[in-house]
Amino acid sequence: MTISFIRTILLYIVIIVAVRLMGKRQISELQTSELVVTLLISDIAAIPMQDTGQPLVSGFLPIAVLVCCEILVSAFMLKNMKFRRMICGKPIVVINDGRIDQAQMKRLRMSTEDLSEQLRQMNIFSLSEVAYAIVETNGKMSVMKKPAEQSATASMLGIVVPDNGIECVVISDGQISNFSLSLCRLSEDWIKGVLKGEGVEQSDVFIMTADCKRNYKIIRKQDRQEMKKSEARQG
Amino acid sequence: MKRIWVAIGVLAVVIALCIVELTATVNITDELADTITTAQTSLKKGDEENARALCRQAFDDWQTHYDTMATFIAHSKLEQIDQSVTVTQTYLERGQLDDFMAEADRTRTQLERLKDTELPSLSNIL
Repeated sequence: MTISFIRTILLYIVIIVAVRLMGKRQISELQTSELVVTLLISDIAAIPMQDTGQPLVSGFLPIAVLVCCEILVSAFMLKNMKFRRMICGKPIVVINDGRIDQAQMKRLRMSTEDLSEQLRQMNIFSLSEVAYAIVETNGKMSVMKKPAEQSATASMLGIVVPDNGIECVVISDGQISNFSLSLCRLSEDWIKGVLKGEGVEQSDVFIMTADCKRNYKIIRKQDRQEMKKSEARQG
Repeated sequence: MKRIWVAIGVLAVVIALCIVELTATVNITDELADTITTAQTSLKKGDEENARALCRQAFDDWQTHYDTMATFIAHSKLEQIDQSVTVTQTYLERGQLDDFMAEADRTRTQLERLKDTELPSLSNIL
Protein backbone atom coordinates (compact mmCIF):
# COMPACT_ATOMS: atom_id res chain seq x y z
CA MET A 1 0.00 0.00 0.00
CA THR A 2 2.81 2.40 0.88
CA ILE A 3 4.40 1.76 -2.49
CA SER A 4 1.12 2.55 -4.27
CA PHE A 5 0.79 5.73 -2.23
CA ILE A 6 4.28 6.97 -3.09
CA ARG A 7 3.89 5.98 -6.76
CA THR A 8 0.58 7.82 -7.00
CA ILE A 9 2.15 11.01 -5.64
CA LEU A 10 5.12 10.72 -8.01
CA LEU A 11 2.87 10.10 -11.01
CA TYR A 12 0.63 12.97 -9.98
CA ILE A 13 3.63 15.31 -9.96
CA VAL A 14 4.72 14.01 -13.36
CA ILE A 15 1.24 14.53 -14.82
CA ILE A 16 1.07 18.08 -13.46
CA VAL A 17 4.47 18.84 -14.99
CA ALA A 18 3.41 17.20 -18.28
CA VAL A 19 0.16 19.15 -18.51
CA ARG A 20 1.95 22.36 -17.53
CA LEU A 21 4.54 21.75 -20.22
CA MET A 22 1.82 21.22 -22.84
CA GLY A 23 0.46 24.67 -22.10
CA LYS A 24 -2.80 26.27 -21.05
CA ARG A 25 -5.93 25.15 -22.78
CA GLN A 26 -9.38 24.36 -21.51
CA ILE A 27 -10.72 20.91 -22.26
CA SER A 28 -13.34 22.39 -24.58
CA GLU A 29 -10.68 24.21 -26.61
CA LEU A 30 -8.36 21.28 -27.21
CA GLN A 31 -7.62 20.16 -30.72
CA THR A 32 -8.32 16.51 -31.48
CA SER A 33 -4.69 15.42 -31.11
CA GLU A 34 -4.34 17.29 -27.83
CA LEU A 35 -7.47 15.68 -26.43
CA VAL A 36 -6.22 12.23 -27.43
CA VAL A 37 -2.85 12.88 -25.77
CA THR A 38 -4.51 14.15 -22.59
CA LEU A 39 -6.72 11.06 -22.34
CA LEU A 40 -3.79 8.78 -23.12
CA ILE A 41 -1.65 10.34 -20.39
CA SER A 42 -4.30 9.60 -17.77
CA ASP A 43 -4.66 6.00 -18.95
CA ILE A 44 -0.92 5.40 -19.09
CA ALA A 45 -0.39 6.88 -15.62
CA ALA A 46 -2.99 4.51 -14.16
CA ILE A 47 -1.05 1.37 -15.14
CA PRO A 48 2.01 1.67 -12.85
CA MET A 49 -0.21 3.31 -10.23
CA GLN A 50 -2.27 0.16 -9.87
CA ASP A 51 0.32 -2.50 -10.73
CA THR A 52 3.38 -2.21 -8.50
CA GLY A 53 5.02 -4.99 -10.55
CA GLN A 54 5.40 -2.54 -13.42
CA PRO A 55 8.43 -0.25 -13.24
CA LEU A 56 7.58 3.41 -12.73
CA VAL A 57 9.60 4.20 -15.84
CA SER A 58 6.97 2.34 -17.90
CA GLY A 59 4.63 5.19 -16.97
CA PHE A 60 7.03 8.13 -17.06
CA LEU A 61 8.57 7.30 -20.41
CA PRO A 62 5.40 7.13 -22.57
CA ILE A 63 4.05 10.28 -20.89
CA ALA A 64 7.29 12.16 -21.56
CA VAL A 65 7.39 11.02 -25.18
CA LEU A 66 3.71 11.90 -25.80
CA VAL A 67 4.07 15.36 -24.29
CA CYS A 68 7.27 16.10 -26.21
CA CYS A 69 5.77 14.89 -29.50
CA GLU A 70 2.68 17.01 -28.88
CA ILE A 71 4.79 20.12 -28.23
CA LEU A 72 6.95 19.56 -31.30
CA VAL A 73 3.92 18.82 -33.51
CA SER A 74 2.18 21.97 -32.22
CA ALA A 75 5.29 24.02 -32.93
CA PHE A 76 5.56 22.59 -36.44
CA MET A 77 1.88 23.26 -37.08
CA LEU A 78 2.51 26.94 -36.39
CA LYS A 79 5.15 27.05 -39.11
CA ASN A 80 3.50 24.84 -41.71
CA MET A 81 -0.09 25.52 -42.77
CA LYS A 82 -0.37 22.32 -44.82
CA PHE A 83 0.70 20.19 -41.88
CA ARG A 84 -1.74 22.03 -39.65
CA ARG A 85 -4.58 21.37 -42.08
CA MET A 86 -3.59 17.71 -42.21
CA ILE A 87 -3.68 17.32 -38.42
CA CYS A 88 -6.47 19.69 -37.39
CA GLY A 89 -8.53 20.04 -40.53
CA LYS A 90 -10.00 23.41 -41.42
CA PRO A 91 -13.04 25.38 -40.29
CA ILE A 92 -16.20 24.59 -42.25
CA VAL A 93 -18.87 27.12 -43.10
CA VAL A 94 -22.31 25.54 -42.63
CA ILE A 95 -24.36 28.72 -42.99
CA ASN A 96 -23.04 31.03 -45.66
CA ASP A 97 -24.65 34.44 -46.08
CA GLY A 98 -27.87 33.24 -44.47
CA ARG A 99 -28.07 30.01 -46.52
CA ILE A 100 -27.53 26.55 -45.04
CA ASP A 101 -24.83 24.63 -46.89
CA GLN A 102 -26.28 21.12 -46.88
CA ALA A 103 -23.22 19.56 -48.55
CA GLN A 104 -20.97 20.81 -45.77
CA MET A 105 -23.42 19.63 -43.11
CA LYS A 106 -23.42 16.18 -44.72
CA ARG A 107 -19.62 16.24 -44.77
CA LEU A 108 -19.62 16.96 -41.04
CA ARG A 109 -22.34 14.33 -40.42
CA MET A 110 -24.26 17.16 -38.78
CA SER A 111 -28.02 16.88 -38.62
CA THR A 112 -30.44 19.79 -38.53
CA GLU A 113 -31.07 18.94 -34.87
CA ASP A 114 -27.33 19.29 -34.16
CA LEU A 115 -27.29 22.65 -35.92
CA SER A 116 -30.34 23.91 -34.04
CA GLU A 117 -28.92 22.70 -30.74
CA GLN A 118 -25.62 24.50 -31.26
CA LEU A 119 -27.43 27.70 -32.23
CA ARG A 120 -29.75 27.50 -29.22
CA GLN A 121 -26.70 27.14 -26.95
CA MET A 122 -25.64 30.52 -28.32
CA ASN A 123 -29.09 31.97 -27.58
CA ILE A 124 -30.09 31.96 -31.24
CA PHE A 125 -33.57 30.51 -31.70
CA SER A 126 -34.17 31.36 -35.33
CA LEU A 127 -32.11 30.43 -38.38
CA SER A 128 -33.16 33.68 -40.02
CA GLU A 129 -30.98 35.57 -37.51
CA VAL A 130 -27.78 33.92 -38.71
CA ALA A 131 -25.55 35.35 -41.43
CA TYR A 132 -22.61 32.95 -41.02
CA ALA A 133 -22.09 29.84 -38.93
CA ILE A 134 -18.68 28.21 -38.92
CA VAL A 135 -17.75 24.92 -37.30
CA GLU A 136 -14.21 25.35 -35.98
CA THR A 137 -11.50 22.69 -35.94
CA ASN A 138 -12.18 21.93 -32.29
CA GLY A 139 -15.86 21.24 -33.02
CA LYS A 140 -17.26 24.46 -31.58
CA MET A 141 -19.49 26.69 -33.66
CA SER A 142 -18.89 30.39 -34.24
CA VAL A 143 -21.84 32.47 -35.36
CA MET A 144 -22.18 35.89 -36.87
CA LYS A 145 -25.67 37.33 -36.77
CA LYS A 146 -27.21 39.42 -39.53
CA PRO A 147 -26.64 43.15 -38.93
CA ALA A 148 -30.32 43.78 -38.17
CA GLU A 149 -30.27 41.05 -35.51
CA GLN A 150 -27.09 42.14 -33.75
CA SER A 151 -27.28 43.69 -30.30
CA ALA A 152 -26.83 47.43 -30.25
CA THR A 153 -23.44 48.60 -29.09
CA ALA A 154 -22.51 51.92 -27.50
CA SER A 155 -20.74 53.05 -30.68
CA MET A 156 -23.87 52.31 -32.78
CA LEU A 157 -25.94 54.47 -30.43
CA GLY A 158 -23.33 57.21 -30.36
CA ILE A 159 -22.80 56.83 -26.64
CA VAL A 160 -19.37 57.55 -25.21
CA VAL A 161 -18.49 54.96 -22.58
CA PRO A 162 -15.67 55.78 -20.14
CA ASP A 163 -12.68 53.48 -20.51
CA ASN A 164 -11.55 52.36 -17.07
CA GLY A 165 -9.24 49.74 -18.44
CA ILE A 166 -9.02 46.26 -17.04
CA GLU A 167 -10.16 45.44 -13.51
CA CYS A 168 -7.92 43.01 -11.67
CA VAL A 169 -7.81 41.27 -8.33
CA VAL A 170 -4.85 43.04 -6.74
CA ILE A 171 -5.18 41.41 -3.30
CA SER A 172 -6.42 37.87 -2.89
CA ASP A 173 -6.75 36.41 0.59
CA GLY A 174 -4.31 38.95 2.02
CA GLN A 175 -1.67 38.45 -0.68
CA ILE A 176 -0.78 41.18 -3.19
CA SER A 177 -0.63 40.04 -6.83
CA ASN A 178 2.27 41.77 -8.57
CA PHE A 179 1.07 40.46 -11.93
CA SER A 180 -2.31 42.18 -11.48
CA LEU A 181 -0.59 45.38 -10.32
CA SER A 182 1.51 45.50 -13.49
CA LEU A 183 -1.57 44.79 -15.62
CA CYS A 184 -3.43 47.76 -14.08
CA ARG A 185 -0.28 49.91 -13.97
CA LEU A 186 -0.59 50.33 -10.21
CA SER A 187 2.03 50.20 -7.49
CA GLU A 188 2.26 48.45 -4.16
CA ASP A 189 2.68 51.83 -2.46
CA TRP A 190 -0.67 52.96 -3.87
CA ILE A 191 -2.35 49.78 -2.56
CA LYS A 192 -0.86 50.35 0.90
CA GLY A 193 -1.95 53.99 0.80
CA VAL A 194 -5.53 52.96 -0.01
CA LEU A 195 -5.61 50.34 2.72
CA LYS A 196 -4.25 52.85 5.23
CA GLY A 197 -6.89 55.37 4.19
CA GLU A 198 -9.62 52.74 4.61
CA GLY A 199 -8.19 51.65 7.96
CA VAL A 200 -7.80 48.03 6.78
CA GLU A 201 -4.86 45.71 7.29
CA GLN A 202 -3.65 43.82 4.22
CA SER A 203 -4.07 40.52 6.05
CA ASP A 204 -7.77 41.34 6.65
CA VAL A 205 -8.55 41.74 2.96
CA PHE A 206 -10.40 38.88 1.27
CA ILE A 207 -10.50 40.46 -2.19
CA MET A 208 -9.42 43.88 -3.41
CA THR A 209 -10.07 44.78 -7.03
CA ALA A 210 -8.79 47.85 -8.84
CA ASP A 211 -8.74 49.18 -12.37
CA CYS A 212 -6.43 51.44 -14.39
CA LYS A 213 -8.36 54.54 -13.31
CA ARG A 214 -7.71 53.67 -9.67
CA ASN A 215 -11.28 52.72 -8.88
CA TYR A 216 -11.18 50.04 -6.24
CA LYS A 217 -13.35 47.79 -4.15
CA ILE A 218 -12.37 46.05 -0.93
CA ILE A 219 -14.08 43.02 0.57
CA ARG A 220 -12.90 42.17 4.03
CA LYS A 221 -12.51 38.67 5.41
CA GLN A 222 -15.40 37.44 7.50
CA ASP A 223 -14.42 36.50 11.03
CA ARG A 224 -15.19 32.99 12.31
CA GLN A 225 -18.37 34.00 14.11
CA GLU A 226 -19.82 35.61 10.98
CA MET A 227 -18.90 32.52 8.91
CA LYS A 228 -20.59 30.20 11.43
CA LYS A 229 -23.74 32.36 11.40
CA SER A 230 -23.72 32.30 7.60
CA GLU A 231 -23.37 28.50 7.57
CA ALA A 232 -26.17 28.14 10.13
CA ARG A 233 -28.49 30.31 8.03
CA GLN A 234 -27.84 28.25 4.92
CA GLY A 235 -27.92 24.93 6.76
CA MET B 1 10.29 28.60 -27.83
CA LYS B 2 11.43 27.52 -24.37
CA ARG B 3 8.91 24.68 -24.40
CA ILE B 4 10.29 23.40 -27.69
CA TRP B 5 13.80 23.28 -26.29
CA VAL B 6 12.57 21.56 -23.13
CA ALA B 7 10.72 19.02 -25.29
CA ILE B 8 13.83 18.37 -27.41
CA GLY B 9 15.90 18.06 -24.23
CA VAL B 10 13.48 15.60 -22.65
CA LEU B 11 13.37 13.53 -25.85
CA ALA B 12 17.16 13.45 -25.95
CA VAL B 13 17.27 12.25 -22.32
CA VAL B 14 14.64 9.60 -23.07
CA ILE B 15 16.60 8.33 -26.08
CA ALA B 16 19.79 8.24 -24.01
CA LEU B 17 17.98 6.29 -21.25
CA CYS B 18 16.69 3.80 -23.83
CA ILE B 19 20.20 3.22 -25.16
CA VAL B 20 21.58 2.81 -21.63
CA GLU B 21 18.80 0.37 -20.72
CA LEU B 22 19.32 -1.69 -23.85
CA THR B 23 23.09 -1.81 -23.38
CA ALA B 24 22.73 -2.75 -19.71
CA THR B 25 20.22 -5.52 -20.46
CA VAL B 26 22.34 -7.01 -23.24
CA ASN B 27 25.56 -6.83 -21.18
CA ILE B 28 24.03 -8.27 -18.01
CA THR B 29 22.21 -11.14 -19.75
CA ASP B 30 25.24 -12.01 -21.90
CA GLU B 31 27.59 -11.93 -18.91
CA LEU B 32 25.30 -14.14 -16.85
CA ALA B 33 24.68 -16.57 -19.70
CA ASP B 34 28.45 -16.82 -20.30
CA THR B 35 29.12 -17.54 -16.62
CA ILE B 36 26.51 -20.31 -16.59
CA THR B 37 27.86 -21.77 -19.85
CA THR B 38 31.39 -21.77 -18.40
CA ALA B 39 30.06 -23.49 -15.26
CA GLN B 40 28.47 -26.19 -17.42
CA THR B 41 31.67 -26.64 -19.41
CA SER B 42 33.70 -26.95 -16.19
CA LEU B 43 31.29 -29.60 -14.92
CA LYS B 44 31.57 -31.60 -18.17
CA LYS B 45 35.37 -31.52 -17.76
CA GLY B 46 34.94 -32.87 -14.22
CA ASP B 47 35.87 -29.66 -12.38
CA GLU B 48 32.92 -29.54 -9.96
CA GLU B 49 34.58 -27.05 -7.60
CA ASN B 50 35.06 -24.49 -10.36
CA ALA B 51 31.52 -25.07 -11.57
CA ARG B 52 30.20 -24.35 -8.07
CA ALA B 53 32.29 -21.19 -7.78
CA LEU B 54 31.03 -19.97 -11.16
CA CYS B 55 27.46 -20.76 -10.21
CA ARG B 56 27.83 -18.80 -6.99
CA GLN B 57 29.32 -15.93 -8.97
CA ALA B 58 26.37 -16.02 -11.39
CA PHE B 59 23.96 -15.95 -8.45
CA ASP B 60 25.79 -13.01 -6.80
CA ASP B 61 25.98 -11.10 -10.11
CA TRP B 62 22.26 -11.62 -10.63
CA GLN B 63 21.48 -10.34 -7.14
CA THR B 64 23.68 -7.31 -7.77
CA HIS B 65 22.04 -6.47 -11.08
CA TYR B 66 18.47 -7.34 -10.07
CA ASP B 67 17.67 -3.97 -8.47
CA THR B 68 18.99 -2.08 -11.49
CA MET B 69 17.03 -4.18 -13.94
CA ALA B 70 13.86 -3.93 -11.84
CA THR B 71 13.76 -0.19 -12.56
CA PHE B 72 13.07 -0.79 -16.25
CA ILE B 73 11.90 -4.40 -16.67
CA ALA B 74 8.65 -5.83 -15.32
CA HIS B 75 9.21 -7.76 -12.11
CA SER B 76 7.33 -10.80 -13.39
CA LYS B 77 9.95 -11.30 -16.15
CA LEU B 78 12.81 -11.04 -13.66
CA GLU B 79 11.24 -13.32 -11.07
CA GLN B 80 11.28 -16.31 -13.40
CA ILE B 81 15.00 -15.88 -14.00
CA ASP B 82 15.53 -15.25 -10.29
CA GLN B 83 13.96 -18.61 -9.48
CA SER B 84 15.91 -20.41 -12.20
CA VAL B 85 19.27 -19.01 -11.07
CA THR B 86 18.52 -19.99 -7.46
CA VAL B 87 17.40 -23.51 -8.39
CA THR B 88 20.41 -24.01 -10.68
CA GLN B 89 22.78 -23.23 -7.84
CA THR B 90 20.83 -25.45 -5.44
CA TYR B 91 21.01 -28.47 -7.77
CA LEU B 92 24.76 -28.09 -8.10
CA GLU B 93 25.26 -27.67 -4.32
CA ARG B 94 23.27 -30.89 -3.76
CA GLY B 95 25.18 -32.79 -6.41
CA GLN B 96 22.15 -33.26 -8.70
CA LEU B 97 24.26 -32.79 -11.79
CA ASP B 98 21.74 -33.82 -14.47
CA ASP B 99 19.11 -31.51 -12.98
CA PHE B 100 21.71 -28.76 -12.77
CA MET B 101 22.51 -29.09 -16.50
CA ALA B 102 18.83 -29.01 -17.45
CA GLU B 103 18.09 -26.03 -15.21
CA ALA B 104 21.20 -24.20 -16.43
CA ASP B 105 20.00 -24.64 -20.02
CA ARG B 106 16.60 -23.28 -19.00
CA THR B 107 18.20 -20.28 -17.30
CA ARG B 108 20.27 -19.49 -20.37
CA THR B 109 17.17 -19.71 -22.57
CA GLN B 110 15.28 -17.35 -20.25
CA LEU B 111 18.16 -14.88 -20.28
CA GLU B 112 18.31 -15.05 -24.06
CA ARG B 113 14.55 -14.48 -24.26
CA LEU B 114 14.74 -11.54 -21.88
CA LYS B 115 17.40 -9.95 -24.07
CA ASP B 116 15.37 -10.63 -27.23
CA THR B 117 12.19 -9.10 -25.80
CA GLU B 118 14.00 -5.89 -24.94
CA LEU B 119 15.49 -5.41 -28.40
CA PRO B 120 13.62 -2.95 -30.64
CA SER B 121 12.96 -5.51 -33.38
CA LEU B 122 9.98 -5.38 -35.70
CA SER B 123 8.29 -8.35 -34.07
CA ASN B 124 8.62 -6.78 -30.61
CA ILE B 125 7.32 -3.42 -31.75
CA LEU B 126 4.34 -4.93 -33.58
